[in-house]
Amino acid sequence: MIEIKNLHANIEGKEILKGLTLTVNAGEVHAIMGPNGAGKSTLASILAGREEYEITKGEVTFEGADLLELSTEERAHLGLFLAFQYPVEIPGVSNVNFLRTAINETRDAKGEDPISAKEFMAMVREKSKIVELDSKLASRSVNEGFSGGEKKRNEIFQMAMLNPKLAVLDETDSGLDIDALRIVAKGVNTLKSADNASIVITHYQRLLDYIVPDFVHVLHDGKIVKTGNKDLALELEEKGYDWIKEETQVG
Amino acid sequence: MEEVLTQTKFDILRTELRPTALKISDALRAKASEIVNSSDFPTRKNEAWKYTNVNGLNKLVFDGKNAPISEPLIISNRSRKLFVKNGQVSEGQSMLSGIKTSWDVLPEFYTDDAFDALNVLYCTAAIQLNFDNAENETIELVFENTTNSAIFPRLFIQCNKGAKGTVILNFQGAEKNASFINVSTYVNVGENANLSIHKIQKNGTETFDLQREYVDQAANSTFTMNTFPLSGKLTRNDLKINVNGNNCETFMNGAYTLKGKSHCDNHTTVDHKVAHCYSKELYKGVIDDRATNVFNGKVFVRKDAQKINAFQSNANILLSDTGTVNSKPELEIYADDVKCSHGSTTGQLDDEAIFYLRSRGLSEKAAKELLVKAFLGEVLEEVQNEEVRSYLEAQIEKHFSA
Ligand SMILES: Nc1ncnc2c1ncn2[C@@H]1O[C@H](COP(=O)(O)OP(=O)(O)O)[C@@H](O)[C@H]1O
Ligand SMILES: [Mg+2]
Repeated sequence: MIEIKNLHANIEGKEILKGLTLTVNAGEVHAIMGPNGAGKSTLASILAGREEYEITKGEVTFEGADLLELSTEERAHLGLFLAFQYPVEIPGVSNVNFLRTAINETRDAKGEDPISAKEFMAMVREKSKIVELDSKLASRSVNEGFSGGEKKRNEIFQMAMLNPKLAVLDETDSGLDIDALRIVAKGVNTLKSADNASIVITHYQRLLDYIVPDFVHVLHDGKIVKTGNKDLALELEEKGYDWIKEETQVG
Repeated sequence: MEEVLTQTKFDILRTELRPTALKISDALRAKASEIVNSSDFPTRKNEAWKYTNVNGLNKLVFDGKNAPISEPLIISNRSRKLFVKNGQVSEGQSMLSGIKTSWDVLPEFYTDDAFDALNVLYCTAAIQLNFDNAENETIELVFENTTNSAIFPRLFIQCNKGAKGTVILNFQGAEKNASFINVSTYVNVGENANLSIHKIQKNGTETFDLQREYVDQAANSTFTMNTFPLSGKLTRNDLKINVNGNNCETFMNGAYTLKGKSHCDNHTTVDHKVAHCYSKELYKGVIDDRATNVFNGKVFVRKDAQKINAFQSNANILLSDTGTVNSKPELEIYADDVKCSHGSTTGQLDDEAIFYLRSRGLSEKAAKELLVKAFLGEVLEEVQNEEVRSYLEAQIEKHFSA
């Protein structure tokens, strides 16, 4: 699905990613954990095509395409989705209206016909249920006046509407109470299939009680320094990140 | 002694204009002539014209070259209509009730503004609209400009006591039309009356459009002026509202979409002369390419005009690095028990929002269009007339597809 090879990236002349390698196959859930400032959001932003970053080395192949050559919207059309750590509030732009435009532009890129109003509304009803998002919220201005939890649920709602091949969830759990966390996890699990995959970025182990990962990676100082199964997350929870830092320095 | 006669820019302009065929009283003619004869085009030194240069008027050639308008002309299907083609009232239309187009003599309204005086001397059409009942009738004046001409309408809009009315002033020019549109509009809103005017200025890209509205509001009346400069080389609107009676409501809204090298200047004045009134002004626009926008909004609250609530806001979004905005809100308050606010902002579209929308699959263009629509949507929400509102929505869309 996606193959990231030896990725190096700078922002404002400072090197953030220092040779990151990661392969994700269809049907898999990968968790990326790591201390604050490790470069987790940087990775997510680069995958989504944020232009501030300078890629100095490495390559990314997504669904057979050279991802780094594609515009942000072309990546979305190919099935990449980023759930933002900080979803943006957009006053005056209706959530469902923009999603409809998004779906139709994606369909157009694939040479498909636009979605009918009826089909679209049925989909809104069905998908907003998955994340228990009030249908009134679904049609309000994008994230405007939403609580932290509502914003994150809205991200998963959008993900459900767009049905991506690869979802990158950037700290979707941060700032959520246990109920919201459960709802978000339920959303992600419901959408899981053999054809899609997700990269779950998180700072804490607790989300992984609900979204069980196939692999857990530790990102530290711009590189993946350790990979294991879900037990690695528990170990990190117990011991913190310091032992990883020490291990890396010794290694 | 030999007197040195210097030719003013008005003198040069006047050689291109045809004196009005309408009958004017000697007194009005003398007054108007005196004003124009003693004036010249405004310069930077004239505070009210600091950012707007009209010298290009003298480069216009009224050659009558014709080009059709390719887009739909009419905004409202539900209204009565009067057509004014290239400045002239279309034939056979003078019989509409409540609409007066033929005159024994032109009404005596005038101001000391030189372009208003010029409008008197070279008037191409004088039109009076009368609203007498509470049915909220809509009248659309369609100004269809297909030849390069001097278009000098003089409009009188009377909304009588207790009456309700809606006027659509619809200026439509052929794409590259190079006309001089010079309009004076006198508005009288009677006691307990409610009048709305929607002005759409969709002029040809070489057209100069100078318009003035002089509005008087009597007690307990509501007046709304919505102004939409959509295209043209230079558009200048001077809106002056005297609120003469208590318990009035006054709404001024504007939305503009500027591109190319177009220049747009909205000057508004609301003069609260008496107590217990409310006024609200919202002008918003997007400026692309090398376009320039000027906004000047004055709010006066006179000495005994207590309990006035006056709000004013102007917001601009620059879509290019080469657009320019000069925005100046001015409050002059001489009463002490008033609530007034004003604000002016000029910024860019939110990059974070654009990225967010693109990450969901919207093209950059579609993302920007959505954000602009949302930005201008706040003004469009104020437009009560559905036909006008949907026309404007379509125009904003078109602005981006061009
Ligand atoms: N726009 C930026 N300008 C400068 N430095 C940045 C910018 N964004 C992130 N960084 C830096 O990059 C590093 C990694 O940040 P980030 O990817 O957000 O980490 P994480 O998500 O793992 O907490 C941090 O040191 C941060 O300060
Ligand atoms: Mg982060």
